[in-house]
Amino acid sequence: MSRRKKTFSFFLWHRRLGLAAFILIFILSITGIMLNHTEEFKLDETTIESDFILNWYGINPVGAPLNYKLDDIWISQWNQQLFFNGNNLYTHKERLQGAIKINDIIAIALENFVLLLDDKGEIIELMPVGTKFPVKKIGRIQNKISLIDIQENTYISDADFTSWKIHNQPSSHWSTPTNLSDHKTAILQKAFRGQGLNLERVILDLHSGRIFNARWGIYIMDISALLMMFLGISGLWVWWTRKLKMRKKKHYRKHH
Amino acid sequence: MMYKLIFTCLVIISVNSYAKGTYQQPDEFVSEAFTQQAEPQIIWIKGDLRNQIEKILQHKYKAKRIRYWQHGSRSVWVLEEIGKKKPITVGIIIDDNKISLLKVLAFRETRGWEVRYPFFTKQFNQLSLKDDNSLSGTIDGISGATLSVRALRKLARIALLLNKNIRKPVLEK
Repeated sequence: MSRRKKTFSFFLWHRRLGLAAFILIFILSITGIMLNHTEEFKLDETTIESDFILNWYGINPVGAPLNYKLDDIWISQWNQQLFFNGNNLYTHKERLQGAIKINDIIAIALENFVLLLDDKGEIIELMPVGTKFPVKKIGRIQNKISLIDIQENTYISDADFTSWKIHNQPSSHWSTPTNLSDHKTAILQKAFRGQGLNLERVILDLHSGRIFNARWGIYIMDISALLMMFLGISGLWVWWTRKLKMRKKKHYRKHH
Repeated sequence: MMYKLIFTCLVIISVNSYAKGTYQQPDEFVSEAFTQQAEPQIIWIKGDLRNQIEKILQHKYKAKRIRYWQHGSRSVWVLEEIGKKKPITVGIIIDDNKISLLKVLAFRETRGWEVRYPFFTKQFNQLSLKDDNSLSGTIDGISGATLSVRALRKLARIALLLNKNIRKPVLEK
């Protein structure tokens, strides 16, 4: 390959990579400037309200919450998160099937577990129910818990709620879901989001690349940083070879 | 070269998916431990017992009670502890205050599943609890499964501690 061709291909790659890295370098530079002036821009005080960004971070609940009311207590579930009176209680992938109160014990039915609480919302035990099929409903027979599975088999607990037996008599007090007021839904949404998300976190993640993906996002920004280094070197190379060429041209003109 | 790489990836994925999962249901483990049916009993986690458990776990213990099964000098415990991110369910049989069997019933993490194999779990056999709530013998770790090994050690200590507590009234008599 001739020297002229070599210089041209280097220039071509300088241009191509420069165009490819443009957006990433732009993001890196702007977010870098913003992070240098966190206090002036009040990044840490600005709370993100955008549903798109909150969904992206997975801290915005999807759909509507499920709710069961027990006197003055309300048990809810929203996207695997269980709530006791609007406070985060437990995370479980199984669907909430109902809740009942027996004296000062609250029993929350999931598909294969019963979560026992005291009336202050403290967990007593998460116990497997050992039913043949997933639980469909929870109810009460006197002071015992009654469960019905999706094949309509009925089970009853012992007095201490430690074991379950098949039972013929179904409960007359089945737990039924209730609707939540907008105010209570807003409380749940706030509890779900926890501390929320501030702008500084988003800018930091944008700068590091973690916003794209928690695991490999940083490598995108690493590549753009390497590209920036390459562009500096290739720019210098192109400038230097052109300067040498101009000097040779001048020299040639002077002596011929 | 590419085929080799794809094959290796498939092998790794299949080993991981095989490794994760439920190996035995807790009620099956319990029923295998006794010749006759044993009813579950409860131990309440409060006061000094809670402090000791939380000291072993090095974090708060959420539940207020633990179920166990007992017949004669044998007690059976099904306990859970988080390895790295997800809980590991372990069944422990204690005979005469010594572990006679420790078995991983469910493993949900992507790494560290080697702890389920008998070459590792049999190290717990015949171990008891010392006065300072540590195990009477050493457990050799597995490289790459440090957190899972740690979780199993903690659960073994807790099971022995709970067993000691359910025996207390009998000893006092």
